[in-house]
Amino acid sequence: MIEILQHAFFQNAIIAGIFASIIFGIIGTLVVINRIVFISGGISHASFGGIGMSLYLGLDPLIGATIFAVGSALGIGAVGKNSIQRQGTTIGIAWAVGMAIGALFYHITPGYLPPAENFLFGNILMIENIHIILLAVFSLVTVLSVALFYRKIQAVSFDEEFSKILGISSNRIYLLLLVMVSIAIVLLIRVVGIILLIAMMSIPPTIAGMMTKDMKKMMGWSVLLSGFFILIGLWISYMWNTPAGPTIVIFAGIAFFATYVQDKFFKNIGNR
Amino acid sequence: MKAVDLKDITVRFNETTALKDVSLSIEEGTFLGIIGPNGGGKTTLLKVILGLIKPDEGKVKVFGKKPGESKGEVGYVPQYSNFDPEFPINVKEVVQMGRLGNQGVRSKITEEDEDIIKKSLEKVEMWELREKQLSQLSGGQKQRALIARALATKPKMLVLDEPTTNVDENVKNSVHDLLNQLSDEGKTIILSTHDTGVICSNIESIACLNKKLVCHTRDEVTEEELKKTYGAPVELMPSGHPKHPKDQENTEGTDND
Repeated sequence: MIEILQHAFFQNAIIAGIFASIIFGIIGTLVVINRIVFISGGISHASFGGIGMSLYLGLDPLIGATIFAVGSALGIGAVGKNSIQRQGTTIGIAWAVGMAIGALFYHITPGYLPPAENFLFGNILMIENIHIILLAVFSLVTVLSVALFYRKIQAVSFDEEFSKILGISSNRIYLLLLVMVSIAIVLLIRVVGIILLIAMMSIPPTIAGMMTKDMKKMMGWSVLLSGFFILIGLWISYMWNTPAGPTIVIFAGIAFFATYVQDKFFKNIGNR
Repeated sequence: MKAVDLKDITVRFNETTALKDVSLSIEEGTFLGIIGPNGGGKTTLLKVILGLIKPDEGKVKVFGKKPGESKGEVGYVPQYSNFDPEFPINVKEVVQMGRLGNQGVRSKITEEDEDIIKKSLEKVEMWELREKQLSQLSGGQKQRALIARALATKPKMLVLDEPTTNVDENVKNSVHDLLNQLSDEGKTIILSTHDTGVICSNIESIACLNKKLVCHTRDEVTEEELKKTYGAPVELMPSGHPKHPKDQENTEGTDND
């Protein structure tokens, strides 16, 4: 156990995991209370198109992923919350077309390519320094912007119409939220991957939401839970020699299931 | 001065007409009840007044201005059932929202804001519950928290969407008492309800809405007009009649039994 901690790649994974927890916990809480888990799923999958495009053009995958993620976020946001059905359609289209574009670029790009699994399921053990720096910077940006706009974010998330009447540009705050979510997703692809990401966006805040109904505390608990899942998941993956991303997500999933059952069980007892 | 002046308002959602040629003018200080069946366009009409829905045709003036420009003059109380019942927010945070329009980027709460928030909460008798999470409250308490939030904007006019739907008789009475009191203080109040069984005793005029404005009167609404509004015979408790039949259902007053 101890000797693994001496390896630079494992230390990097731990540091990356800690910053990732801050982002997952705070952005994830906003995603859950705004009920945009599936928008996040759409953004995440759409970004695979950008990754493929970047590889084809010989660019850093982060660049293409950011373009596709922010683009699909703004697209889904523009179609609007007015029509839930239509938004569902847009999410589905961005989701699948993004994956298709990525797969196509993978096919036509000649030469050696990093395995697609790295992007789909994450590869935190291969994380590079530049990613850690980006994760650190974005964690800071997330904490600061949420601290600065806490009341407005809470108001718009709770009651968009009332905020509009007050003259708060709720559309702008909503789009800002979607952009923050997309940047978070792009940076977290390395940690748990495109496909598994929404689990880490939604499980910690959902468990936290069963523990508290205070938004600040919910964010705090989500950060702690994310950190717990990522670090313990990493350790399990080392012990059992399993891939880190799926191990983290399965561990979080089991924790969710256990909390859910316990929550229902205790609530039932309380009602009697 | 006219609080609200609507001229020939038509609102369509895709192919469906929600409101057709509605003209309605409301004097400042009036307590108006809008009655009509579910889907009759009551919420749409309120949202037109609030500037949340732009009518396809017609003109809207609220206190002489376009509805979007009358910020802070209109306090909105939506149906509490519109909200995520699990949303992490407490009573005070809800009421604080009412002061958000007057603050800068950082939304700092001034002493004056604190004072207004406290008074608004006291008015609805919710000050003691200020630290409670919204999800822990009963329907009536949630409704009162939302009324406090609207009061905290210091509005000249209150707009309430079905404030007494899904709450029990006691809560209904206490909401009515509160509204009567606010009306006595000179506030313009517009409320919608599909519940014709009980109408607030202070309501001075009634508008019957079913896509079109069937009637708008300061007198008693006739049975004929109600029938036209609901498409079925309906009984209306006369205003100034605070007593309720014991077996009164608190929703859906549309049956004639």
